[in-house]
Amino acid sequence: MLRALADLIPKVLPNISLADILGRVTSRVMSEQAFFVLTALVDQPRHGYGIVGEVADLSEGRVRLKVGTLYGALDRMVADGLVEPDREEVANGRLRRYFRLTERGRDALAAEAARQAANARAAAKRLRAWQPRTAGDST
Amino acid sequence: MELERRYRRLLRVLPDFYRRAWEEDMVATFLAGALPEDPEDAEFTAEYGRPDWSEVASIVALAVRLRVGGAGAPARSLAWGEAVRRVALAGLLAHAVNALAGLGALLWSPSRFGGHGVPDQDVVVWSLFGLGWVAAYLALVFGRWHQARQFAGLSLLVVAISAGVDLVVTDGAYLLSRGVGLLVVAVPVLALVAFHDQALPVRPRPWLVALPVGTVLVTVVLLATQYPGGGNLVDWPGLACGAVFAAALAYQVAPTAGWGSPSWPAALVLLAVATLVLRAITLLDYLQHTPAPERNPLITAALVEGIAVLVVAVPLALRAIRTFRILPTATDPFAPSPARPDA
Repeated sequence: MLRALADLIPKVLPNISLADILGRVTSRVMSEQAFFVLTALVDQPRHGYGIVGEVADLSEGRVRLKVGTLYGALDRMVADGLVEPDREEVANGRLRRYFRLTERGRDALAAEAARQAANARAAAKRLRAWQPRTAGDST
Repeated sequence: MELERRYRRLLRVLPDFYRRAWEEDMVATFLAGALPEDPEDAEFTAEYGRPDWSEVASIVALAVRLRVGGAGAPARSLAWGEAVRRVALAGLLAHAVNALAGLGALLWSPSRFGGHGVPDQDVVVWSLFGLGWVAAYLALVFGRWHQARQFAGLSLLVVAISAGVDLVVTDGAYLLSRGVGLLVVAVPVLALVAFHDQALPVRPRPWLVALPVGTVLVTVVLLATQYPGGGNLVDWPGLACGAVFAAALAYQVAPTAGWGSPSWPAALVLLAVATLVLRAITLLDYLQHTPAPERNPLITAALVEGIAVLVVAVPLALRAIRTFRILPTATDPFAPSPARPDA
């Protein structure tokens, strides 16, 4: 019965593969927000609003972090040891907590940057090799 | 400053442990971005401004992720997350089984539905729409959470349209039970919010086995409890009561046999509450609308089912409360955590 169900699933959900299922369990791709937050911390420790501004600059305005998204990401990064608190300052009567990248965070960012660069190289190579069909082509 | 007060009020949706660690930082970051540089504009915004919908959405999404937690979350939040995820799985399983058993009955005995040996076209179409629940369930079991939400949302929409059409056709009869029934159907769909990117993966095997087994069991029970005239002594809420009763009893008898997690009692209690609500509402329908000869056995069966669920749900609820109380609510966000099980 299980076998029959396993055969049925690709028909119902054509994009599912075993590798996909296992991939979900064994690895997690870094989100774009997390990628930019880590990148924003490479050169110096920053506080929350500093990270928001730096991410907007790095992404040329494409990624605008909301506060809930930023602290959701920071919270996970601190828990994962990718980021750690650097210092606290009081500015205009408000607490500012600065964060810095850890060695582990730097490694994770380097690995993700390499992965994205490899993907981009593969796509660029394929695009360079591609020739648009002319009107007379029949194949 | 009104804007700050409003933002702090919004942050109350976050768990206490999280606010203790992050609130001041979040407020400072929010105000730094929300207040314009011009002092007059800043003063106006500080007094009359409100967090915009995207800020509200980001905080609500964070609150959901923290309260129904996944990998790396505090133990209590993780247990709640697992409980809600099991409610989603069990609820979608019930919908999928209902759809398959209904379709099976339609194919096996079409004359009961059309009266002429051929099922009514509308009934067939509505039954086929029910397969959306099966797709949602399988997508969820196989980790396709986004697709599961889409299938489940569409299926819920179909149920809502069907209930609306029925209400119009029958001049508003059974308004209360149909309305509440729709809410109960929506419970597992809403519970899908717990399948966020930190959610632990589902073990597919037991849930896959449950689908055909549940379909066969439901079909057998429906066939065995038919009475002359085409009715069933055990209706759908009765089947749900039976399933919750059996699961709760099994947990009480063997709480550590493969499901020793504290999330199971909580999930079973949540399912018991939804089932009891459905049972109570349909019982009122029987009292008001069913003719006398059929009414008494139906009411007796409904009462027995409801009481049976109550009898097993109350000790389970006490057990769940005890278990959850001793689970830690928070971890120090600045202490490194152990490696995540799904990483």
